[in-house]
Amino acid sequence: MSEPGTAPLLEVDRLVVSYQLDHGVTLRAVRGVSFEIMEGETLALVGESGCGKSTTAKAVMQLSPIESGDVRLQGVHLNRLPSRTLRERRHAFQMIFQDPMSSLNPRHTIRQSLQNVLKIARRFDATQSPPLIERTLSQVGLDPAIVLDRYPHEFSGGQCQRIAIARALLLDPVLLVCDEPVSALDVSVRAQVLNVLNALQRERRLSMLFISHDLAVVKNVADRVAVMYLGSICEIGPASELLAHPRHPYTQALLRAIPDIDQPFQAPALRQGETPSPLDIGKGCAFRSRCPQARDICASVEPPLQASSTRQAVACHFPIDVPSLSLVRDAA
Amino acid sequence: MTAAEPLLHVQSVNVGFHTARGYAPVITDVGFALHKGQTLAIVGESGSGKSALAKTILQILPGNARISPDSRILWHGRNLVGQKEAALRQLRGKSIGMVFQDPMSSLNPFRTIGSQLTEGMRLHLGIGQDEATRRAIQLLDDVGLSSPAARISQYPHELSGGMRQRVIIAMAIACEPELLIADEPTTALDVTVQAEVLQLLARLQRERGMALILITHDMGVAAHHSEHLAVMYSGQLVEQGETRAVLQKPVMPYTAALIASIPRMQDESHKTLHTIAGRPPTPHEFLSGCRFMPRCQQPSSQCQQPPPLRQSTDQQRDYRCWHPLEPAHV
Repeated sequence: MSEPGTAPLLEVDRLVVSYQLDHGVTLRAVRGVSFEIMEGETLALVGESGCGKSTTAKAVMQLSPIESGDVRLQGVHLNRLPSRTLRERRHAFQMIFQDPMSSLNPRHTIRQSLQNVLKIARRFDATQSPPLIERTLSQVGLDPAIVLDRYPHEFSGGQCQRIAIARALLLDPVLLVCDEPVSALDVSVRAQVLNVLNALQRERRLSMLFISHDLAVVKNVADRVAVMYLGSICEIGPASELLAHPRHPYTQALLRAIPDIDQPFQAPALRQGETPSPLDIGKGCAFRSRCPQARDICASVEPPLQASSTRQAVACHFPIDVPSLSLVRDAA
Repeated sequence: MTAAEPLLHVQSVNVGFHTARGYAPVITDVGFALHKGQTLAIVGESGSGKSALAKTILQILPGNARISPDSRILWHGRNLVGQKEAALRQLRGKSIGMVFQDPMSSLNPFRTIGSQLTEGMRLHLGIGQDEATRRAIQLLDDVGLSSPAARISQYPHELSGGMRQRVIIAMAIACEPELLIADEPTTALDVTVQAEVLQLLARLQRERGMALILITHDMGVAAHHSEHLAVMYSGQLVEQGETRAVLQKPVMPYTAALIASIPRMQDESHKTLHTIAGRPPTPHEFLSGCRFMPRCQQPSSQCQQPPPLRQSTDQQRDYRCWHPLEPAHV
């Protein structure tokens, strides 16, 4: 495990993202999300579909409309940059997507796809490009001699995802945003991609924002985890602590719901309530309709995200107790 | 295994597709037996032929597919291969229900939930609209939908993904089938909803003695929700046996490699995972010998020959490999 640096590389501060729907309706997809990512650190953003995790990732990439709040990369307010300056900084933060096949041009050889990146970025001259491309492909475990003159359809999903990672790395980013990068991959090739991502973090001290709904994958790649529910972070903390001792009832339900082959099946402790519409969450805790321990206060007061230990924070009026052992370890 | 006749007995089934690139053998020599009330999970990667196998049992394969005539799919001892379409139609949706992966495309967006739910019951059970509607409301209640009486007049787009999948399951069990074939029934759903839907299927099995074929790519889902497990690779069942035993002591190297490559909650962070080199072959690339050989860590010259289907000495495990892993090595 690599030691994260001390200065935040990415700071997301009270981020709000809204979409204007028909009839003047506003959908607030991200409702005041704050987190930091240190140099060389991987933060996983987990939650179910519609919780706002992908929207948050796109807002970090300056691809969704930010209503308020800030995204700072190495101290620079990305969301306040004029578009021209932003374009010049884009090399520093790159993104890979869920479906690697559709993120590569099927009519371009891998060589063409990778060269285009360098051409558009205008950061390298013709003599620098070929060795850089070959070095980067080797870094994701692909043999340039075999790969370069082939087309995307000749590769498996896992190989395509590694090519997409290589393409993102060409411009030497400090931050890699990964949106469900292994969800579409088969088990036997998923491991290849996870190993590459872990090696990059170790060797290049790359910081990552890793979006996933799969907690076992998150356990493998993340240093810290933020759990989102209906546009807000309900719990955030070190992966080892949070996944072993969840404080928020929703985190606990998520952990129980994953089919873990090493554990017997446990029914997640959830009430049969419906998830509120994101258009009308109302006041109080967004999770209360499904929470097994919701009480009166949960319907009237929205719980703030509060530190539950030195490194973990939870937004719940009645957080789950952790065994005293871990509290001792936190205090140390 | 019980001595009684299996509900479904699949024996040496071979299926191929005629494609522009030639004949593609998607299913080769597949066999298994399923008894009343049992659950068989079929796991495999995309392209391994698990969905084609489900469609073969129901014989709803596309027109360019061909089931070899000596394949045997015995339903209560009667061979379904070569049966007339009219006889098969009596079976589908009545004795054998089916649930597909995508809940949106299995429902007609222009018709109400009620009209889609009652159609099968009126057709197969010969009951009137009023009785069918009464049963439909009961079914929606059974699958855990809130205010079932109001749902009857709603359209699919008014329901969430999890609710739609419950409606599909209600449709599939409406005629009280003896067997439900569920092809990735929860893959499109969130984990908490997945857990609820799988619990629902387990409850329905208990209450109705229904058998279940659960097709999934998720080893965890198979581990939690099946008694028997069959692992499919390149159109063949390469290993089958009792689920827990297969997961704990796989005999075929592919099964072992697949299990080792899964990230697990109990592992430490940033652990380097076991990888399987290369990718699964397409049907046009199938070798005449062992199809896993190019990716196997311990192939020998013998693997050039097709591995026979073998059985462990205790008869609890079937596998297809020249060099099975010794339990001590697993």
